[in-house]
Amino acid sequence: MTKNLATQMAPPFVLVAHYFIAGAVFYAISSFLLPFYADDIGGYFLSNQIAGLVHLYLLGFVMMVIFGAMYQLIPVVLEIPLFSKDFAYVQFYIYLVGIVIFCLSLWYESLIQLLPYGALMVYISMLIFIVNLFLTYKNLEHWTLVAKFIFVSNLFLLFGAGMGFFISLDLIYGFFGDILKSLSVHIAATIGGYVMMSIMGVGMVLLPMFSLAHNFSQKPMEWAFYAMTLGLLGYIIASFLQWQTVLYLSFALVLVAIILGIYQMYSIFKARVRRQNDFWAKNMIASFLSLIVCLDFIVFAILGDEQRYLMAFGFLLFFGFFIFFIVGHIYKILPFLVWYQRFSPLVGKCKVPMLHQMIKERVADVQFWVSVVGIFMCGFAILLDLPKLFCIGAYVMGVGTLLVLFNIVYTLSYKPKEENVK
Amino acid sequence: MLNKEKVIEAIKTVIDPEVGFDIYSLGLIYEILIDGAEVKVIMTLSTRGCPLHELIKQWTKEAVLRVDEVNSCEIEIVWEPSWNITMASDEVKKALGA
Repeated sequence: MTKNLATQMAPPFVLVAHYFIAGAVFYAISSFLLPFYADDIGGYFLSNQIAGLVHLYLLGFVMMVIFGAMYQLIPVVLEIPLFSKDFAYVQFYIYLVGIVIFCLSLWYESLIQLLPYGALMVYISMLIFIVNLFLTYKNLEHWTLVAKFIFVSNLFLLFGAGMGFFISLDLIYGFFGDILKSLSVHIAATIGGYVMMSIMGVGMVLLPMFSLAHNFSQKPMEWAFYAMTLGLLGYIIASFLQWQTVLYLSFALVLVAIILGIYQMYSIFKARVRRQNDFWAKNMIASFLSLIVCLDFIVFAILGDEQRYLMAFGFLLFFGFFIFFIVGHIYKILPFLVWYQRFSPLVGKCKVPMLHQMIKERVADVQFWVSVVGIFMCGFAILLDLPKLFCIGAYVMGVGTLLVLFNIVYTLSYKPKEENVK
Repeated sequence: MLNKEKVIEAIKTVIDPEVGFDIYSLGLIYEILIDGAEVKVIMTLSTRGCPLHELIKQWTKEAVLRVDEVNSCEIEIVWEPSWNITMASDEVKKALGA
């Protein structure tokens, strides 16, 4: 039998699994470190210790899973084969070692001199990803909205990660001067430009696909694309040139883009025909509710100039929006990958399991509510400056993480039972 | 004697593993054309860019070819008219909560 197009285009399961498994491990480590940061919730948030945790979480979990998911999604969504699968393996190992060196050098003062080396490895690995992506784009025939989002998000990654590398040099050799300005540009480009724009782009494929939504207009997200790109560019330029008014206007434009994105997701949800609120749907609802609350906090932080709102914003964005969005999709994508590898060749020859059977739904459901409670506790603790409550909430979130890990292991080692196959 | 019913029964063995229903009940099959021992199936998918795109196409072809009287089968994927839930069977609509 000739190999079909999907088999030719799709990356091997083992490649994506590298990223997902490493992402899960970093998720677990950062979750279990979180309670130890309880005393920092009301204080100055730019310590090396907190920077270490934030980077472990963002680079190790959030971006690791995004890279893995991109390798899976790009060929099927853009209908073009990946330029190089070997590049993806090389990227993974350089990235992995880079993250470990980077975070350890932030946590241990004796290792701080290694910081630029870790940052350089992380940057090189991202350059490999970006080059691989851009070479893949050479064969692109249709510049769909998703294709535009992914392309521009990687331009921001190119710039933002480069800034990150220069900041690491600056921390050791001190040549930049105003590190706060560099940091805000680095954060805007990587989190706003790369992570948010990637989520907005792939969300336009994943949400309609899993909820079976049709007949909705893409206009809000099209506007969001232009507003986000323009807003972030304006923010970066205004930061360097110290144009305060343009800075605020650009920031407002980014907020408008995110609101448009939320509205788009709401319109997809309204148009969905799959009405059951399964664990995926619950995670998506919680994810976007977290984002809405986040936006309130950032506005309060700017208007009131209060550190706790900024902390609450960062916490809810990272541990609310990102976690619910990513975990919800891990529950969908991972079973598919394992199923594709293990069971798709058996279709028509013997009974095969359904994808939802490859997740312990009850565990996923309990995990969802445990995570919600933990995040609520931590969020209130930040707003009311209650470190003990934060610590307890972080432990509760840790239980949620353990349940996620249980399901990941369950899916990876899934063996169908007779009663589980149709 | 080859007829549409036999082809439909064969197609009903193809299950979308994400939704859990066969592709005929989901309303993804638009037309079945039979010319002697040759079958052409015109169908769609619930989502463009679905990772299962090529696999579902392949499974459908293999399922039709399993019918004794079929010698060849061609599958054509079309996007117009785009699929919507009204095309699915009542059982599917009820199960999805639509």
